[in-house]
Amino acid sequence: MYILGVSCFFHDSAAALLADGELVAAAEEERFTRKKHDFEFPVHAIDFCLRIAGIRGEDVELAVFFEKPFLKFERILATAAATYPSSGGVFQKAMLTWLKDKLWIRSLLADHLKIDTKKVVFSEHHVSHAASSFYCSPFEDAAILTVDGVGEWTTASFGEGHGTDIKLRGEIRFPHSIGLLYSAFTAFLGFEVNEGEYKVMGMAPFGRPKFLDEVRKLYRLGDDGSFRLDMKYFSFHQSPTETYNDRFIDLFGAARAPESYFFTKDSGYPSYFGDKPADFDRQAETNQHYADVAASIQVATEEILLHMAKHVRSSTGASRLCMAGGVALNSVANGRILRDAGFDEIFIQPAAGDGGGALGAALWGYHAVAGHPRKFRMTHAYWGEEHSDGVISDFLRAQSLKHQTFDDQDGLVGYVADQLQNGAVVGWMQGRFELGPRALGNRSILADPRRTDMKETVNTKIKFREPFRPFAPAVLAHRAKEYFEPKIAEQLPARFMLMVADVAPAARSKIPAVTHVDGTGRIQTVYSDSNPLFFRLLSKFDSATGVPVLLNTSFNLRGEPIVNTPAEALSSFSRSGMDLLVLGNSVIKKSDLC
Amino acid sequence: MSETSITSANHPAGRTLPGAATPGPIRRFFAAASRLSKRVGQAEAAFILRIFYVVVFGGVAIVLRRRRRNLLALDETGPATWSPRRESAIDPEKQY
Repeated sequence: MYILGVSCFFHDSAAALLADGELVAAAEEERFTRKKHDFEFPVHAIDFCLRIAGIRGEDVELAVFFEKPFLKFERILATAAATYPSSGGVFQKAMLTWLKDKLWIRSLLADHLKIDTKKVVFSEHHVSHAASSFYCSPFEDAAILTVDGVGEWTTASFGEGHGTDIKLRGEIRFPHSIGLLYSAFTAFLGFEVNEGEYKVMGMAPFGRPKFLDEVRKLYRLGDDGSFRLDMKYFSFHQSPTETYNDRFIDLFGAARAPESYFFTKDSGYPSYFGDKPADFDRQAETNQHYADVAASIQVATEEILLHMAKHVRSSTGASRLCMAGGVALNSVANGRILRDAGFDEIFIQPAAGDGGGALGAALWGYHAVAGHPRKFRMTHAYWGEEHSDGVISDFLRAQSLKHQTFDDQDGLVGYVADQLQNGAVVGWMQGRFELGPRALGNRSILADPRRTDMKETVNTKIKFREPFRPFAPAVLAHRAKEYFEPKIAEQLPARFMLMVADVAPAARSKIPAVTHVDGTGRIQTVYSDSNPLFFRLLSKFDSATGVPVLLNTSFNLRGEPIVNTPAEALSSFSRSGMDLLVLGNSVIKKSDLC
Repeated sequence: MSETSITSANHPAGRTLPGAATPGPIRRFFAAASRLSKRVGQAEAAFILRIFYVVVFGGVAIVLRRRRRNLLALDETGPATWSPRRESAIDPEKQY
């Protein structure tokens, strides 16, 4: 039985395909169209899933859309009516897209797959989130907490999962939303909403939560673990472009200019920004203000989430928690929930945001609609497209590129580990690409974490990104506790880079390039059963250096989606300062391009 | 380990990727005409929607707000609490 899950029309469109309850393929549309956070109907992702399974659209027995479009439309109309006449912009923009595409999703899906419209069914947004976490988890029983910007009406929900049964007990409804609260600060701090939230999280450790009292004026916490925003500070419900208003600015000052350089006295002035400005001190002081605002909203978000998670713990009695929704990508908050909310174990799948809604919808269709028992457990994130060594070889020949091909993996990992310890920055493309926003060793840029200057080197050569954003440590799972906070390192989501752990004080000087300014790291634990080649590379690097850790960042250039194909990897490699490109078992040196 | 040495004179740095050939002048003309037509269409749609918003939707909004004051929970003094979920199972057939 083939079940297809689809999410689209907000951000991060995606498709996921199950065959008899087992996940066959799942991918976000952006990897195929090269449009970051592509929200269009995911034609390419759907076709990719069908291709992997070797089936046609007609073979799909159930296509599940991840939310109820009419309920969402009702929310948009109700919001426009409640805020009339100031909602003109929102109304106009919404109608143009809803009348064109969003209201016709049933026929869009049926037409594309060439199936009867009766085979197209609809989950709910937060039910899809809940299903994406609980059904992928190894837990038979668990509490569930979903938190994001907004679905149909719901912005957060909690409940329980038992076997194949998911029951959501309570919800917070629009406009009261942690995701939208965080997004308001994302916009205020000069980043793109639905894209720059993780930059706010990275900026926060450079500041102190001096504005916590001001942030707390924006919401109230309920006695039952809930919260409510004070809407007089926000505009997101009545404006297509503004998320906050003048009252908000009265509290926090003028907004930071978008894409302006960020540096503080602690971060220093990165060389790739050019010459140090004459008024460095003044600019650093201004930036410090914004870092303090970032620290304040981060702490407040952690407080609200912890407040909710503690309530979920006490009201369900469960010792395990499944989380999903875009806010569950806040890896700092996830670590705090694990430490302080009273749960023994937490599970989050790698595409916790809307992209994972497709996966949740498909699983919900299989268990809740078709009534089948559970069998799938997600232990890795490699559900995307693969390009075989043959395809890579043909591509390299067609490009007339000088390259080396290794006949055995030992030779390959030995060579790459040597290059890494000699300071090379390596583009590493292997196997199927990852589901979700993190590169987990199949579409990664790798470097030596022992070098103090490596963070700036990678930023200068490749990413040209803000100096406050940390690089992640990928670590051999069985050695992780030597380097990182053990309670985090042993959790399943640590393999998906979804939790920030304290770096052990003794280890900080060993891996400075992946230790953030506050002594933490967004850890990825690597297991031999889920990614044997990456595990071997780490083992080889460990044998050579005594350090079982590599710097791992996503294989993309600034503003682009993570690479999928050999052509995209080569394009990124040639436009950046990477030293080595590894495509399957073939290696290309930068000098080979000249 | 084997090594393949082929000329690297035409390495792909800065080169257009396969499949992205430059379109001819006729195709460019029709593409531009299509873009212009799309923009005119969008402007017309926006104008019609604006009139609809002010005249029709405005009237409906005012009536709705009088009949059902709590269309959106915007009041500052409202309670912070979880809303109960519907107990009945979701109907997968329905889009609402």
